Amino acid sequence: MASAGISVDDLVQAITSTTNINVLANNLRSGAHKDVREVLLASALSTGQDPLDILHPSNNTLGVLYILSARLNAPTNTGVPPPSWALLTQFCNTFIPEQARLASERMTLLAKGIIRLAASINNAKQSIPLLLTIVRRFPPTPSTLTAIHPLLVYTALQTNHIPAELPAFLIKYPPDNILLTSYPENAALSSVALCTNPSPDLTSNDNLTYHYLAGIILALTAFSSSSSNSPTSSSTTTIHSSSLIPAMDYLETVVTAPYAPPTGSQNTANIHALQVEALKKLRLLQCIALGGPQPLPKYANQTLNRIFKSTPYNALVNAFPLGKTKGGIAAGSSASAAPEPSTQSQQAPLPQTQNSLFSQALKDRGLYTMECNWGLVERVVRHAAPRWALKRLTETYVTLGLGEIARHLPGFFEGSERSVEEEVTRLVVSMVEEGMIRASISVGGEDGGIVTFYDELDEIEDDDDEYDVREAGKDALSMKEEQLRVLLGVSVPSSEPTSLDSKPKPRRVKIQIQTLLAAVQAQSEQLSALDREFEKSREFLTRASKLERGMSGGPMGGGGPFFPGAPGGMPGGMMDEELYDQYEEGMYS
Amino acid sequence: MMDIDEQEYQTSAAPSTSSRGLPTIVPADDAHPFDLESYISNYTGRTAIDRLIHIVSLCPQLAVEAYNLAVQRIQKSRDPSIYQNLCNAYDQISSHPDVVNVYKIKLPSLAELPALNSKWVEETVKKNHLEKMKLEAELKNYSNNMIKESIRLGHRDLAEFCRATGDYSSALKHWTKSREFCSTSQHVLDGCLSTLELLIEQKNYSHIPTYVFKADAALEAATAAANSNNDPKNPSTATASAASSASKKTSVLTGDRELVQSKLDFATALSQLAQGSYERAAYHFLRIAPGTPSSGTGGGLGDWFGKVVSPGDIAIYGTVCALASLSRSGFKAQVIENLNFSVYIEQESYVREMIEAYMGSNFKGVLESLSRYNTRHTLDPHLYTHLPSLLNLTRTRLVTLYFAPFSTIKLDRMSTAFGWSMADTEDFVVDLVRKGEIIGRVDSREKVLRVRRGGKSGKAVSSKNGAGISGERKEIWRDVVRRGVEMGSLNRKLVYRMKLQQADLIIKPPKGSGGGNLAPNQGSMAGEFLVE
Repeated sequence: MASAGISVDDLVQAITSTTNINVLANNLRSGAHKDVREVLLASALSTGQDPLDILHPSNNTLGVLYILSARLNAPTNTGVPPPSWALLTQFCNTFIPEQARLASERMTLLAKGIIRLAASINNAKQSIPLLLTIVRRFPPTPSTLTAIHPLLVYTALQTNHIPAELPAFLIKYPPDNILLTSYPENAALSSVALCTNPSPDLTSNDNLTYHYLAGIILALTAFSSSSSNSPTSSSTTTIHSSSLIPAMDYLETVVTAPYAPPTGSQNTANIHALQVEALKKLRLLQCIALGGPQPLPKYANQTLNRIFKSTPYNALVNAFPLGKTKGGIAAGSSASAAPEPSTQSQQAPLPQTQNSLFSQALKDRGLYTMECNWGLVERVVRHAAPRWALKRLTETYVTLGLGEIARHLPGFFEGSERSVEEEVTRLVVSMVEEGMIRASISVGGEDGGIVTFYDELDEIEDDDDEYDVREAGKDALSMKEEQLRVLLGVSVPSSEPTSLDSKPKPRRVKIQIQTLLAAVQAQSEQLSALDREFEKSREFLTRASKLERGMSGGPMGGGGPFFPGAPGGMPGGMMDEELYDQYEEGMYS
Repeated sequence: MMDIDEQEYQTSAAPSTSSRGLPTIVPADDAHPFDLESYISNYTGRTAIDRLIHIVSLCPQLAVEAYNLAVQRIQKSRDPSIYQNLCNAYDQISSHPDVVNVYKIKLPSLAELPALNSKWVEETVKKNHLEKMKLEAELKNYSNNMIKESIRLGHRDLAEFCRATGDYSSALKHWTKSREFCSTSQHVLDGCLSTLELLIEQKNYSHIPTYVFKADAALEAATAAANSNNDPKNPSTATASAASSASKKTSVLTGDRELVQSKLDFATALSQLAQGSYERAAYHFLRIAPGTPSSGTGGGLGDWFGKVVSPGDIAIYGTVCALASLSRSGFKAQVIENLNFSVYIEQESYVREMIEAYMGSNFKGVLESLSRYNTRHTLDPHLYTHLPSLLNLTRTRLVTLYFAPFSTIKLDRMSTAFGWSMADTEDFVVDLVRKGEIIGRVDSREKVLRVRRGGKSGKAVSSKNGAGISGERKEIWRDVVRRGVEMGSLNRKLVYRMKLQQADLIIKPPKGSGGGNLAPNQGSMAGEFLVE
């Protein structure tokens, strides 16, 4: 069998005896012809012994990785037995990441093989824990994007099995780096290393797919515990649910993904279909979580906005939350170009409704259903709309009768067997529970009860007369864990796989101002380290010297990988300004 | 009486009838004084007739009287065709449902009213025809002789004639033609002013700026020319031009320039008013130089008083626009301390009262005056379409002014101060809060408007513990933290995006159809879960 001169025995020998892991990696990658190599790796030793019995799954990570991935992906007709599940689990939990990263494409192969193996035994979701372990352990930090990340979320969604720790992982480790082929010796520099040598099996599709699907998973998690769409259904997850914000961040990353500048001849902008889909979902989520559509970041492809405007989604989110009313109270209904929805359309028996937002949604129900957004749309118009409409009322009123509230929210409470007052009460109560508003209801009165809304600051002022700035700082800083995580950036140590408790609810952590300052300092250090890296890079120096010589170069922000989203000027943000300054400094020094 | 006022406001703010395409009609009684005789005596010629027709169409109590006056004036004019407009206006008012329903007035039918003298009509038509023939023949003659000045005069005469007989389009045409034959800037200026007069009479506001611009340039040139002409060391120019034009030019130097400037200001103000830019309109109205009709070319609008407007109108236009658009300090500087304008204010005593009420923070007084003289304002053809929005702006301004010093205020005190009912006050205030004009919240139980703590207007307010100030500090803390977190998150996203760009993981144009194929499938696959 080992006709090519080397046998599997030699390979195992080389694996066990090597002292230089890099040489071994090179040998394994290019040692034999591809076809031969795969067959070799999948075969048994000449003694009939399984090479995996000899190799230590942890110490000989590289070798085991090659063998496992080869076996998992061997054509079925060759009779190679797939490795046992226990062995795979053991390997995933104990491999040495530094060794494994020398062969990242084998790791991807292994992950694909695991999925296939799990599917072949009709238990696809069995692969998810293993994949999760891999993405946590394999890259230098868990928030480094690898080609395995999209596989993980794809499998989770496909099997409709989202383990509790997956959302926690997604929230905790949003990608802020990408996997490279090689890393500098100094581990401290790895997070700021220039990404000029990405791992070869990473594609821009991986980036889009992972973020898009992760966004969907997080949105699903946020909504999962409240199944009913009734406006007053009490839900344990809140509208400010912890996972909605990161969900929107993920989707925003898809929407703002970098794109190649359109070349002269082609008219079409470089837009991925996923981006359009992500934008639709993003806008709907923004309505739910923030009360209305938010402007896209400047560095997003503006063509996306144009595409979005031609869809019915645009009119819908602009009419949120009250729908198009004749008085034009609907916030920012700039998109009034769309004709007023005629309440009877292709959907045969439409319920007669006063709720104009709902009827607007119903008009395009076919489209929403086809694009699989009807669930979200329904949630927007039935669950989120009355909440935000009421929220806006609190900005105008201090007290309101239940009946008055109902009059201000026309059409939201129809078709219920309960009385309107009861519905409003339930709505108010659920909103208070969610922390969306602060209010109290006093029963009685001609309107069936009076709701008093408190200003955001009311409570603090009533707290005590001894007022202390630090107290205020403390109060103001009670933010969610993931927000702090974001602030702390990549400097969070990744060695705490067990701390990922599967708490569905966000823990509100009180942070002292010092913590915040530390976070800010950490981030500025990161940024200046990044700056130094830039100043060393060949491309930067070339450009700077060119500019210095010519002084007539194009606009400074004119594209190029150094200035994210450069066409159209510098996007906002401290980082860019700093970069810009550095750039100039480098130019004149 | 107050109730009537209130009703009055409601109808003018949101006219119930206008939704059916009918104009709002107004009463003229003791509560809404309007002296037709003295009003119309301020106007002459065609303007008077047009204003009378406007009154006929809007005020049932005065319709018959105004009709009679109009017929008398028409018979003194040269245009029988305008009678048709009068009849239309009368038809409109007699068919208006509110006349019978609200005002309980039975207007006599048109047949019962005196009609035009048919003999006069015949004669006038004949005379007009002859004159037109004559003028056209003259013009043709001039054209053949190729004398520029005569041709210009021929066009001018024809234009004046057409205007007098109501043929506006021909009049405009001839004025435009006459421009081609102007030899001096003064002629151009004359032409422009006549055209402006015509446009104002026609209420064709949109064209006004064009001619004002032309007139401005001509005015500059004419003044410059006159200056050099008056220079005694330059005798050659004096001999070249006719004696008459020389004397004209001298007068340009003195009062004429101011007069022309005022006319242009007035025209500009009207066009701004028509566009709804009330602040600019107020600015131009308030700039008009003082002068009375008797003072001739000494100032004011000269011959436009009577022919186009009355000094009282200037006072009303200026004040109403200023009330709606100027800040209190701006009002003080531009209206009270404006000596020019005070001359006009004297023309209408109630305007003075209104201004005094405003400066004395007697907001109820201002609104009552506005309501009391709503008839007077509505019966003004230039102003009436803007009254609802002007009134609304004024009320907004007054309510905001009133609320400014308070941290909480009971709505019933407010309603007393403004003379409104509780419900109206609440609706109005809620509306202002929604629009962000007032930073506060309404307590609909206690009927109290409270300043929002931490809001902008809350800065000045500090309760006994200085909570207002510390509230602000808290607000700043929050803001700082929020921005810090946002910035951190943005940084993370941008660094990541930059790394993607470095690694060239960017969206590239699809090769064939490969690029975007994955997406819809995955989109639907994933979205399916959301549908549940």
